[in-house]
Amino acid sequence: MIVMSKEENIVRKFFFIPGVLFIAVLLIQGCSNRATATIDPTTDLSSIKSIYVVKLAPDGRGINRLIADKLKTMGYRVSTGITIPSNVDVVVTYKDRWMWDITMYMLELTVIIRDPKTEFPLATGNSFHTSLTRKSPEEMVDEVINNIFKQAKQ
Amino acid sequence: MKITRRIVVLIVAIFWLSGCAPPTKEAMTAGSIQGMKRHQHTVTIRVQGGNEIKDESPLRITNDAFSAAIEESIIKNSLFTKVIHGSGSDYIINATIIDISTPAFGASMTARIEVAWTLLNARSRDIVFRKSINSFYTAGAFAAFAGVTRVRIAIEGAARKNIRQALMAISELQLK
Repeated sequence: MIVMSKEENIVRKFFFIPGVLFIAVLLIQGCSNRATATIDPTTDLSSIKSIYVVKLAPDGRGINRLIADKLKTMGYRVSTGITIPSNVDVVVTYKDRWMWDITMYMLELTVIIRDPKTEFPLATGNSFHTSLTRKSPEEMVDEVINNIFKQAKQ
Repeated sequence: MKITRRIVVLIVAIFWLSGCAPPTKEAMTAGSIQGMKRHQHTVTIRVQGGNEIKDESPLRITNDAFSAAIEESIIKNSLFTKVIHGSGSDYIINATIIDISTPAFGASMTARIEVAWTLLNARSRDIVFRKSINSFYTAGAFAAFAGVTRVRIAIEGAARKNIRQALMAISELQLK
């Protein structure tokens, strides 16, 4: 029979169970991924020529430029900023969430393609990667945009 | 001492598990809406943008639960004569869950949901209604003990308000 001292008992009571729970949460979260895209059934994205990426006010990392660059490589006429011009086919809005685990990483990115006049969401894409499967912001943008346009072709 | 500890563990487990359940159909169903007009047509409901499967996440609405909540709300308020599963209806409601925003922590929790709604004439494919609805709901600090449960309550409330606003707007339409 193992006899524990009073101190060992205290350590066990106060640190063991929370420790196990903490590790369990880390393990469960560590592998959590999600990558989805939905297109409004009444929308045809194939007619899009020009896109305006609206910069999210608190975005200090330039995610708007990453999205704009990605869309440019796909052949669209793209501009980005905070004032929507009147002559674009669609506008793109986004929302990024970041988390710290040794270093900061992008936990989630949501991109929404909207009608410039009514702001109606025509298509949306979302990627969620926790620490162990983390991707760079460029890779997250690639994944979300690719998924949206892949979904639109189906 | 052992019994007390077991009871505490049980209570914590109940709080934990109840908090982790996803938003339910019942909690998202809009109640009776005053002044609702009735359309003498049938309708089919299509939902996308939510979870495909019930993965027990309290922060994600499943397509099935949201669809069932819309259906229940339509039936409760007799907005259409019948909800048809599959083809053959006069109109189609498309609801796309675009975004769900929730706070990470806090005493009272406010959730925001954006849903893109369209109503199509099933035969002509004409779009008779197209609107994006943002709705908010705050679960007060005393709504539940566990924070994750308060978030779920806030999401359910925001979803319920969203359905209510959409059905009220659809009710105002002159459908042929």
